[in-house]
Amino acid sequence: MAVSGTIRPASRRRFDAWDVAIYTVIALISLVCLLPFVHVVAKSLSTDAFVIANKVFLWPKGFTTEAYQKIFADASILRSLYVSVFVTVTFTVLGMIITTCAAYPLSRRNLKGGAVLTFIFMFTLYFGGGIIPEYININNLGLLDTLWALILPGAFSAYNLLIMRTSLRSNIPDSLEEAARIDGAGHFRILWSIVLPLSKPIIATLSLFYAVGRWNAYQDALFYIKHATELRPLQLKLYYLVVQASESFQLEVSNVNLSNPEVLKASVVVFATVPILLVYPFIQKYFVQGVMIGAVKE
Amino acid sequence: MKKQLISMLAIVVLVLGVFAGCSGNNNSPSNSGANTGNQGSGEEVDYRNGFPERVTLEIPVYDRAFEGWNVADNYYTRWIQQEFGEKYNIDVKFTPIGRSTEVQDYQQLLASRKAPDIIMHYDMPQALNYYSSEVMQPLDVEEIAYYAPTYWEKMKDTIERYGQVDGQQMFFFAERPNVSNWVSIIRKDWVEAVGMKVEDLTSLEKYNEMLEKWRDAGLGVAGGSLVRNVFNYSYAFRDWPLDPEQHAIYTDLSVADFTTEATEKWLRNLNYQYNNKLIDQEFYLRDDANKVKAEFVAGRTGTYGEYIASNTDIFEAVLKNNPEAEFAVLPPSAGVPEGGVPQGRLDWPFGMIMGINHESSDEERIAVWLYLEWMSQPENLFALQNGFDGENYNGLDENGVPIKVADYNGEAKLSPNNNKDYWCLVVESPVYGSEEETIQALKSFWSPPGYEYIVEDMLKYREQQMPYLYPDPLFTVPIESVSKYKADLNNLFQELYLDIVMSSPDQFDAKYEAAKKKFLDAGYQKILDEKKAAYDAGNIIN
Repeated sequence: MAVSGTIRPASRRRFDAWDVAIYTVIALISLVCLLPFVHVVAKSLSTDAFVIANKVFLWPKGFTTEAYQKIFADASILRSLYVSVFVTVTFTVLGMIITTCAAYPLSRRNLKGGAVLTFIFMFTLYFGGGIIPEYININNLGLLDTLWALILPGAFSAYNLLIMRTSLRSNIPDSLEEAARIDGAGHFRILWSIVLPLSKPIIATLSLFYAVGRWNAYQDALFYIKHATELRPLQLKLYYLVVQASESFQLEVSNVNLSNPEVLKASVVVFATVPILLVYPFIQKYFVQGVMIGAVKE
Repeated sequence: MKKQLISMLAIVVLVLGVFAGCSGNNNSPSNSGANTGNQGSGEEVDYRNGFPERVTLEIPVYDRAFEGWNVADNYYTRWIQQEFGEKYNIDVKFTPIGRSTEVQDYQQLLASRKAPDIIMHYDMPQALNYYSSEVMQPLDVEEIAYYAPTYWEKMKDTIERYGQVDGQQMFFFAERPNVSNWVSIIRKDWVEAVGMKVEDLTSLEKYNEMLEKWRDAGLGVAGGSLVRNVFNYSYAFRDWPLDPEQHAIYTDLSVADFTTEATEKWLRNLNYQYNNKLIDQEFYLRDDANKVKAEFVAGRTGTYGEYIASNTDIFEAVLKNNPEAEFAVLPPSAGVPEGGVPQGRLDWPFGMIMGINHESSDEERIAVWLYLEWMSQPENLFALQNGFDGENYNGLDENGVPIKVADYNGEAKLSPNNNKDYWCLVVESPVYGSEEETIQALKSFWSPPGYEYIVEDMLKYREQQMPYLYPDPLFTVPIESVSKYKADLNNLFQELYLDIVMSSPDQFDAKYEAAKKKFLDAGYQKILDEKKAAYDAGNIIN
């Protein structure tokens, strides 16, 4: 079945029942992931009347790109896109700097007190302050209604730290560091010129974790960005577009229809998902490397 | 050994850190009460012409996430600043409040002490909740009358009558004209296809008879939805005339009157309709308006209700899927059992319910009155509701209603609900002269082109129904058991009523008896007791 790396592949076998079963399962699982997305894309390109009637499944009905034209004409959505991009990039860069600065020292066996530090970081994995103390904290720090409220609190992740520490420990042999030291390199030189270039796969992987997590999160923005409508990231904008419009009972007299059309919601979902999807192909090769690393002993 | 010592040390450091964090936080949030008292400095300063020093006024505005509309910064917020703010030396800031997350938003803003100067809600029980959590300050009606004479003149009866809680003046209100645009629509072509007329639907029995014919002809079923959160289902099944005490104790939008006779009749009918396949067999899955709408648009159900507006897409969407469709208004009598009258819920004569934030200063509170006064001036209100002549509209028609420029798309464009979220602080719906003139004007806002007859019929039926409409009971003390138990009762109601409706008719009585007991035990009895006590003590407005 799977082709293993160093052993010579066995001579070609026949395609048996097991293969059929495996491919079927794989196909089903991929479809479960893929179909909802295709469904939303189809909706976003359809005429509203058919979408309301739930008649659009995987293929657009009454094809139109009107909703997308609306999105690109809406300055506030584009503004949100810009906020999201800025926050995600800053967050990822900052997160990687912090994580690397913590992970590299902890990965060296000669660091004194490494176990205690690791324990303290680990502690945050299991116990957190909870939403309300966090909210009060952010408020007291004066971060409410600033983009920093979205960047700083999450910029360090203990989980990512542990992954990186383990990766550095197993991939950068102590002897390499000693060699560099003999050549006169200091800590920062070693980190910059030796460790980082050798750790591209893990850096790429963790960057992706950070970036995707940040891009998709809206809950913190929902709490922290209240007054400043111009600082809403795209996911929050999307949340409002989809959720706010639906009301079950109105104690108010309304003179117009209040909800946003279904088609518009679908197209904003697509609009908010595509940018982060575009990142994957560029990082794909590092992902594969990341998986291969450690598979074979030297 | 050494390792153990180190980890012990780490734990001690952590624990100390946690304590340090607690004591550090203690000081700041709790001293909020300090500046709430109104220390009158002895002499009244007159701010009617504006403030000597800049005052920041924070006004809440519902954010409905209209595509392409920034609630806090747009042409009209800037216009308000220029016309009102500059005149009185006030910075008007708008605080967005998510429409469907408003209570949560307010709570967060209050917790971070960044809530706007006005705390508002459409619904009295929640307004009383804000009062109970002590986030509002008592008001001085003379101050309102002094700084906002026009507003006060119009609203004083309402404010004095409904705005007092526990003997203190807490709330002020926006005006609510007596109008409603809720309409139930039925597929006229289906009614006629089975040899009946819409006018024949004079009772629930007739309506069910028609549904049986629909079923036999394979046309479709009546629309249905999951009942939850809002409980106004039992009106049509109540006895008439209404017993005031029964009404006071049982009528509550947020808690079902599950143990009443009216509810039993409602359940029996639903059970009948469900078992005879007269209503949407998956009604329990239709838990939001869009799902109910989908069934109607697709032509699977023949009835549907919504707040009609000229830009509704419902007719066009149905026709696109079912080109032969014709529509009529479903008469209110079609939901009433033989011998009953079409009772229904009437709104209170006030719209938005407002209080002043307990942290607002005297100047900020006075700025609110000045703002309401400014907005109550007809020319300002008119501009906020209709925009500007030569831009949004071209002149007025004979009723004084602006003739709209249909495709106006300039910078003075109104929000998709005609800026209502700004002017809702003084009135709930535009008023043009007398009540009749207002209705005439609103007709044009409500009627989708070609469906004027729907709105005509809707208004006709409402007029017929008017004698049987009455508002919810209004207690002048907070009913605390309601806020305590309503969420649990809401969940329990869904479970119990679906079980009863979807059981076979011979199990009905046993199931309903058991369910009533369960419901009472889960807190409903406590609510009834507390309301009864409040009613007996006379803490209610009739």
